[in-house]
Amino acid sequence: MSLLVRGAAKAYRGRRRHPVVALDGVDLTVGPGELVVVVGPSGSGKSTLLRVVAGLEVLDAGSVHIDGTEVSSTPPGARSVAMVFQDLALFPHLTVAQNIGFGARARGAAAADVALATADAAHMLDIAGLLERRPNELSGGERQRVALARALLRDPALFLLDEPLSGVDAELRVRLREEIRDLQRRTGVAMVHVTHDQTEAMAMADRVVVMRAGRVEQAGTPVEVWECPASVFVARLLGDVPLNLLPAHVAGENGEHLVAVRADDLRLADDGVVAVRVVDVVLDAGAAVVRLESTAGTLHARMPWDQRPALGAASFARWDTRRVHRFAAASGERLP
Amino acid sequence: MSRARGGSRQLPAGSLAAPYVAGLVVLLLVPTAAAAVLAVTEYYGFEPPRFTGLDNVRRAVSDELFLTSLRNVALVAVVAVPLRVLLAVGAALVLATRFRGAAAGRVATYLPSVVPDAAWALLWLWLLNPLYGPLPAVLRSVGVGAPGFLTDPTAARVGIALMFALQVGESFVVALAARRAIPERLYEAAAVESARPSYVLRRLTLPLMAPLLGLLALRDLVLLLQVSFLPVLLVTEGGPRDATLTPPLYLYQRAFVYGELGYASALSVLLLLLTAVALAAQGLVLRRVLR
Repeated sequence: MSLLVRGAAKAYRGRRRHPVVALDGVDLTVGPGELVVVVGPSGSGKSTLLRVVAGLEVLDAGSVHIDGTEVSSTPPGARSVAMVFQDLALFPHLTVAQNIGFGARARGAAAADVALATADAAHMLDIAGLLERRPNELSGGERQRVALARALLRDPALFLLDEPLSGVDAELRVRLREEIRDLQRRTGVAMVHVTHDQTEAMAMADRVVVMRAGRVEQAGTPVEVWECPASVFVARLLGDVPLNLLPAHVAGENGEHLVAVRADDLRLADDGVVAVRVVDVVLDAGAAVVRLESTAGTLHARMPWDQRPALGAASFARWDTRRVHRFAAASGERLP
Repeated sequence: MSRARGGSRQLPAGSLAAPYVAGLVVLLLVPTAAAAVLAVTEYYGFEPPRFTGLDNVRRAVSDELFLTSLRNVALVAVVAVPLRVLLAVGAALVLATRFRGAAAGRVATYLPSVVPDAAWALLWLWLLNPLYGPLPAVLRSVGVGAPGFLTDPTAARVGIALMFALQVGESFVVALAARRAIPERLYEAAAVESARPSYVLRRLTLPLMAPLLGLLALRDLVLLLQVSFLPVLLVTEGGPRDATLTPPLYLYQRAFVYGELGYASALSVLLLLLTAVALAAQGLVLRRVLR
């Protein structure tokens, strides 16, 4: 295992010294060469988890192992991890080359060797022409690449990325996502990438770890968590159109159940089970996202643009019962 | 808000600056102009000033006491200015971190700057006193022997330098703010890159604080050249044997002890020019060093 976190617990002293639980018994494994994306809303503990792995925070309980060695109380510099921070933490007074080589020089490498490695990394990330610039003379994407190059020179056992793409615009984000993925594959070094963006998580991950309130809600491949969400929370988090949640009696069942229907699985038909009225139709990447009002609340459906209903039309919603997910109403846990 | 509501209630920018400009003119520019005019005259305050051209300047450049005062302040500055910046920045770096007693340490470091200059001077008169002062007593007890801070020329200059250098409060606060302004993230990045504290200090902290350190050094030099008056007046009166006679003290004596207002004005103008030259020189050196 490249990384093994067991029973990680961490609480901060918050306002009026009330303890705020950031991690509440988290287990995490990352295999050799694996890219794991930790996803969750802000406050779910994902960044704390990364900082614990880096050694920037000390655990209250539990342990961290990197490449089979326990490092729970090892200082960050002795852990063989490279980290890319959310704000990138580039040194503003140093040139790009000096930024990239900062750690290598700090660890005592010869200037000539560092220059060579810097040139290599810069070439790999397509920033070879920027080596003499300073961070404030770079674009957002260029800064990202400098931070990645700095991490590359660490030659670590583990890459840690803390929401590095949250500050760049949508188009660049998609491109950098792919570049990071390629870089990770090429180096074959395990990576933990933290994000609150579920699209990013699904697009990049070998394995997705969904966190909620300091706990791991579900871990699995993107297909697994999509096909088989462990809870209402996971089902809601993944997917870019709001999830349709209906009390089970609407579907003709009894008991305290919730039925979750993804927008792509909701159809409009005369033989549907829920009476709806079309209140809005929005174009979304070539598809129509249709907002519906029903006695069960607001529902969303996504369908090809040419099959969109007329605004204000009355119809019935239906779905394939094999495509729905059932959850216990009280706990939100998945039902078989 | 008020700008959006209507132009009639807007004040022109000049009117906001007016009180300051008035103060600047009345308190600074007019006296400076008067001094510049008096500098080329002989004037004792009883009869109208008499124009003497560059006589005052000629007298100043061969005035042993004036040259001594310049030498004194240069000697003190060479020690006191770097020492004061060093102490302020050192204290700021140590006390910027969190540990038990750091807050008390910050207060203690700042406190001497709250003490009025006269009180600070009198305090040092006691501290340095060869008979009952604590500093000579401590030095004697560790076997160094008291150098006679108020009686030996060199030791007296050391005493004046210490008085100046230890009043670090304001520099300390500025340095503390500058250290705090460096994002903690950068230190975390350095820690993950396994940079040692000495490397972080050399490569990260000091370079990022450098512009401010230069500013503090320049400010302290001006302070020492222009304001090194009250302490020497109260503690040493320029003695022993003129070893702590500073330019401000000397021109105070010329003006108000000997009544040579014209000559004193010439000295003050010369001092202003010399300060500008010293600042330019220091600025050039700092720019070289900090690059």
